[in-house]
Amino acid sequence: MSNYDEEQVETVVGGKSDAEYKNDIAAREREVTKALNGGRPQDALPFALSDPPVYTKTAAIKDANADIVIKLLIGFKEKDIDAAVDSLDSDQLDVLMKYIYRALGTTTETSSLLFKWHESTLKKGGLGAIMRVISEKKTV
Amino acid sequence: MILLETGNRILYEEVLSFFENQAKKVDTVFADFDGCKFNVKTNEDKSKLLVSISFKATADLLKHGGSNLIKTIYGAMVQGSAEPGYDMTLAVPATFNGNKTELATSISLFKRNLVSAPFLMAFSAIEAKKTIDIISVDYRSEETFYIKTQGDNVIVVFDIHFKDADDIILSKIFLQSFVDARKTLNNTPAITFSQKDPPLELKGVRGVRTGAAHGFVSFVLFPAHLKKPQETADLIQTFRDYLHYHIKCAKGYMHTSMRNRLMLSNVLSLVNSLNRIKIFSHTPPNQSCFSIAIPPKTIQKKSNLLLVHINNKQKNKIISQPLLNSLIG
Amino acid sequence: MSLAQVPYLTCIKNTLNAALCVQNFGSQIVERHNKPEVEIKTSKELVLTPVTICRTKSEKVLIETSINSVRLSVCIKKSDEVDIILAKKFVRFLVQRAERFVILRRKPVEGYDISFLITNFHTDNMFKHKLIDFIIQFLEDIDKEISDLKLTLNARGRIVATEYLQAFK
Repeated sequence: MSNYDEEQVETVVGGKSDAEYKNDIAAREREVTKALNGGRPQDALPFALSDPPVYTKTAAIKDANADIVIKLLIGFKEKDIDAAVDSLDSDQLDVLMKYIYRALGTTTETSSLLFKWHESTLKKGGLGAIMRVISEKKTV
Repeated sequence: MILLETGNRILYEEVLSFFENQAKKVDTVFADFDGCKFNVKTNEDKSKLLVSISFKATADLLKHGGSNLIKTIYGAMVQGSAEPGYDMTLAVPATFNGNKTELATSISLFKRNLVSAPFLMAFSAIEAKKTIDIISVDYRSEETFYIKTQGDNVIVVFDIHFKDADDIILSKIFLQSFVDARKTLNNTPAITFSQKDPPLELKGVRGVRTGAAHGFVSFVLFPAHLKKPQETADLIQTFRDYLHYHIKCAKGYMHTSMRNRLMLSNVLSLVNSLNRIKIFSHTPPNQSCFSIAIPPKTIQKKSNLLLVHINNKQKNKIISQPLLNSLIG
Repeated sequence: MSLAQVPYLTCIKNTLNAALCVQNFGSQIVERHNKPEVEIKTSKELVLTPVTICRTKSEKVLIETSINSVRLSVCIKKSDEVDIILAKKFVRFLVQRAERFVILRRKPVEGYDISFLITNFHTDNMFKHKLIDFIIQFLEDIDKEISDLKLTLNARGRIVATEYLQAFK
């Protein structure tokens, strides 16, 4: 038998409590809506990708946050994507890649835009970004 | 040949060969479309050739003009009572010495004549400005066709039953093309088809089968078609077989093309490409770090495996595409 | 390859490239067993996060990764009933010949039409980029084949109908 606690594999200790995450999400939603309404979604991208709720075990919180981020991602115009991706650092790229895969697995109408996101992020972040989506237990 | 023959080829050849090789004893049983069975045999003293048919719709057909028509065509050949297990029998004396080909042709059209009877009856009724009651013929265990007169036109409705769910979908494509093709052609019968529910023409007819597996195809034959009654009747009666025959052909074609695809073209070459190059790193000969074995097919030689040994210097190159390409051509 | 398909296939290609990073790994539970962990799922630490890539509702792939194997399941594009039966026939045809395909799984994962299972033994024997190319080529071909078959089916229908109706003249 393996020498680790099976139950602990999925749990990553640390981060904030669910209540704190809820506050974060509310703030994020305001920011994203504002940026989308203003027609400049790239402004909200770094904030949307900061501190994702990877530590919570509550699926609803992850869903709520993912909805907001994905809404922002598909609010982009195709020509803005490259520039937006370029401005991100490697941690943000990893988070972005996780959300892209999440979006690819659920939404279907906007997949061409998401493929563009995927391509740009891969170009900047390299295969490692995809690697970390697959291997990290810190899911978004 | 896209259209089906109306005569039965085996029947034709059996009859012809009997009269050409006098007095040989025969007893052959064979089947035709529509669950129809024929038996050609000589009687005890070889004085007669008996041609019997077993066909589910015989009774219906005889009732609707069949008996008169058969009598006019085959006259004295019709045997009073059919052979056991069959519905009708024709008896030809072995001494027959008229035109053998003509006789064989006429007998091979036995079933066609039987089935045309109700059509011809309906057509002549229109000619004589009469109306007739709707005729229904149960020609298979699950299927029926109906003939109806309406004004100057004759309406023929086929209830076609499909055993296989895929056939239903394929038949939809075919039937839809019938409807579409009609738009580009003149002087063709009007065609409509419906799945599951019988068309309005069959309103009030009892015993109509319904259900997802049943398709209803109705043909409206206009007076122009009725001027050539036998040709029209021949075509109409082969419709069901024609449809089924081409559905089968389409399936066969699909299978062949998939096989060809796999055997000859891309997929197989892909399968080959998977197996083409294998790295055997476990038995490197002296001085080389590993070897590649390329199967003969790849290098178009009939020798066994060509072994390329690569030494340490070349090791890095092997990973590079150009070298690989130069090796495998 | 249709142009609209390119980004989808590129995305699959890149994901596979990252996912196909497997090593030999014997079972932790049974002595001298070496089974694809993605199939038997004996331990959570050996199986990684699965990803789905959808193009449309019916056209998607699922990539499941584990320490010694990757499973790729494909849902083929089906826009109408005819596509469904064609896809069904094609897949059945291939699965019956699975032994020649080496990496083809005989039974697709539930909800998908066809599955591939790539283990470390396959990557040992074959070049990874060739394997990936094979899968991408396969995805392209299957779409092309199905649309070809559909075209010939319709063409046949038209010829059959025209020929029959013309005979009435």
